[in-house]
Amino acid sequence: MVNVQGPWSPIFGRLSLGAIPDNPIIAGAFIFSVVLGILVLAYLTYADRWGYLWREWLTTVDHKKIGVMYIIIGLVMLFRGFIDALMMRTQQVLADGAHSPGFLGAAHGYLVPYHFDQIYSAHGTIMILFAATPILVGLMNVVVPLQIGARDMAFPYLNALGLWLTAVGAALIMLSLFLGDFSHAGWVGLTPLTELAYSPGVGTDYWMWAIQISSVGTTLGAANLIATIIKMRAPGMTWGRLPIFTWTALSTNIIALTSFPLLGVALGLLGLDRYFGTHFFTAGMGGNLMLYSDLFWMWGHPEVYFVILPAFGMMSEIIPTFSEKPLFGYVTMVAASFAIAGVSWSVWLHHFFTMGAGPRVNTFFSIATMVVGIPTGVKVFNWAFTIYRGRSRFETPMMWAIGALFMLLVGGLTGMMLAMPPVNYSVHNSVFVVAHFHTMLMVVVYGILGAVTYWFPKVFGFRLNEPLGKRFFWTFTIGTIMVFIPMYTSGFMGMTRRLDYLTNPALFPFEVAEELGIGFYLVSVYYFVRQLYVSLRDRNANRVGADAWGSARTLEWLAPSPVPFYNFAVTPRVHARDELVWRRGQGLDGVAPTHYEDIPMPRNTSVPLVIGAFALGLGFGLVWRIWWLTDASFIAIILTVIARSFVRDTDYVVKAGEVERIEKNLRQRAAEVARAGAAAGGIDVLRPRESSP
Amino acid sequence: MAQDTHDPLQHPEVRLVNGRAYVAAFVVATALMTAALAVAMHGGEIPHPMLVLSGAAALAVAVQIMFLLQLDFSSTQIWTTVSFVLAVPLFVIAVGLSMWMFHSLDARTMLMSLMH
Repeated sequence: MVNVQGPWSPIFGRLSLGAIPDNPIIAGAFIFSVVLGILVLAYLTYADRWGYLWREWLTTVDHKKIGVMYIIIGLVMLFRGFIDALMMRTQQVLADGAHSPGFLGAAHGYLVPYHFDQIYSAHGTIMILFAATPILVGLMNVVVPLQIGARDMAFPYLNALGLWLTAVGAALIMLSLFLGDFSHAGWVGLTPLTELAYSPGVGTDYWMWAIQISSVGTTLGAANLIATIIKMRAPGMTWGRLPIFTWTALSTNIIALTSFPLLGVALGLLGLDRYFGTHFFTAGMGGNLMLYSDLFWMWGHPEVYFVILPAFGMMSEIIPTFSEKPLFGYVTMVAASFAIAGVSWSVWLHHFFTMGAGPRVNTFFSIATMVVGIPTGVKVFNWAFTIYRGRSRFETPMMWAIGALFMLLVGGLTGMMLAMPPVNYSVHNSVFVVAHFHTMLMVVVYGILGAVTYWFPKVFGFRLNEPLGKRFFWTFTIGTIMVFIPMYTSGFMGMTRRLDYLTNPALFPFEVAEELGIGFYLVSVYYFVRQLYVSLRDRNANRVGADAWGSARTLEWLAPSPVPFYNFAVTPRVHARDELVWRRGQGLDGVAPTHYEDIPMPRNTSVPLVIGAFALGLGFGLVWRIWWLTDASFIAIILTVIARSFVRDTDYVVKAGEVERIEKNLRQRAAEVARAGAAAGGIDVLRPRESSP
Repeated sequence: MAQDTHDPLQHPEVRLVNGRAYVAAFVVATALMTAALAVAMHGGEIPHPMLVLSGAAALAVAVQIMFLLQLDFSSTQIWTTVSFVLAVPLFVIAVGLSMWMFHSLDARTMLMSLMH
């Protein structure tokens, strides 16, 4: 064990009252969180919802509810990451030029450099690992079993465990706001800055353990989704009929399963450096600091495609639905997804072209990077040809999907520029790179927001408000353009990234434009919250039938909306690639089963939540070096896992009669929705039927 | 989905459990790692230490595959075996390209001199 600076006690480790930051902004955030927390707790108590929360959500193994909880965690973290972005933009617009004023103890702007560094590190870590990743995993959780006609995931218990480990990672990051620091070394963990000698505080430890624990959850989830897709498909769901989102989920999770262990190794070695005094990534003493960059990006680049491929899948589901046409080039779409996944493994060095590797090495990785453009181009043309001569309807999900297409164009073309090593010698570490990867991540965000709107009625039984959704889309899009176009420009003008103070006053107009852009984002957040509120308030007017959009194509739209806990009353037999279109063509889409069977279902369990709680203890103990807590939590996790293995009563059976009764109720309710005539549920009879591809 | 309608002990994966194979794998792997550590600590006294280390690592992997994971072409294990084989190219890419890159890097930067 390495001795650390500052006081340490056996009971509290490095924890002391001094760990509570005395910053007015953090105090404000703390008061906001506490008030919000008290309101939520008061509501739960007042409405007597604790039992409901425990039974229906906290102990659930239902893939839809777990997916929804993943998405909620992701949205909360997305908000936190957005606030970080708002603070960074405001700092840069304030701290521009030698005469810019300083507030709150800062020489320029209102954030001292050390605090600013923590904000951009938190922003990156949160947005990629605790916003995009959980929301995508959540959507895959909700949609994949429904698309392949399964009752649940292959391993429901493991699924819940993955959720709670992700929640622990998010909780550790949120704790770091109010107790101690967060890492100041960037979301990538710049070595040797992350070494104990240069980052003696707990910030790097928070960052390291939050990622380490949540990535265990992501890896487990990946194994689960792969097993589900391979083993749990309904009869007739051949590989050639697998919906395209499920194909992208498969490719993305193969990436996750093969790359996340590398992140674990990289952070594990860093942990050995920080806790046991080894020298894997030190400068000197036998260490090699570039080895960390190499290992990190060997995971980091596949991770980029881990987040982009599901977004491609979402676009591939939304665009055909709202073009009322089969997806153009199904086979090439699948091949392109796997080509992107495959190439993702041989491009990582383009993140450090300027490190000093020779021309041959850089050329190899440059060409490999450009190769990614080929399958991506195939996808873009496939979407364009799907829209071409289709009956396009511009409902909110379609708007997001087309927005994503534009983002992909801008991000992809600037990516082609960055694939050339000479370009990197001018723009490496500039905000041009930042603007590029944000445009790419916007593809993911647009895809996610489209997908959330698209599949929302499937999970909750009512649609989100359209006019507010459109306002959300347009304010968000104006924000995106106003933030990132000036950012590309200032990057070309030589502005480097991660600056808490800008020496060049010529950059000021661009900073003002970006600040206005983030203002539009703020308005868009308001419209999103309002959209959720209004939709929830008016839910009875917006109820939908099984096919919420009237032109959906895949199997998940065959199940009632909201989907009952067992998904399909009778396991469906699949006849075509676009099963719902086939059934519609045959006049079979509303047919009720004549015969019901008993359904075995997994039983709820609190074990994943308990393991999550111990994992939080483990992570917290490791961060603050409270060894008794670490040891006790670790032993408790092992004992809980062993104890769970003795529990044999993990399933129960829903009797056929019970299934029939639930189904009858659901059908009756669907019929009432259709009679009420509000917000077209089911099939629009005026729309001509189309043949299956 | 978990359907606990069968005795878990009857699963073919569970039937593969073999105490003697596990102990053998553990003993051989420990011996190989100890030998590798010794080679790393006294590298100068042994000819071609990198080759010896790589050989020990390859042998350890082989022992674990055969005795610990019991990969073979039976219907139970074929998925795992195929997954392992498919991971080999990734291993070659990750390790091979990294070595190539560091070889190129060391010739052009001061990193090597920092290592001593």
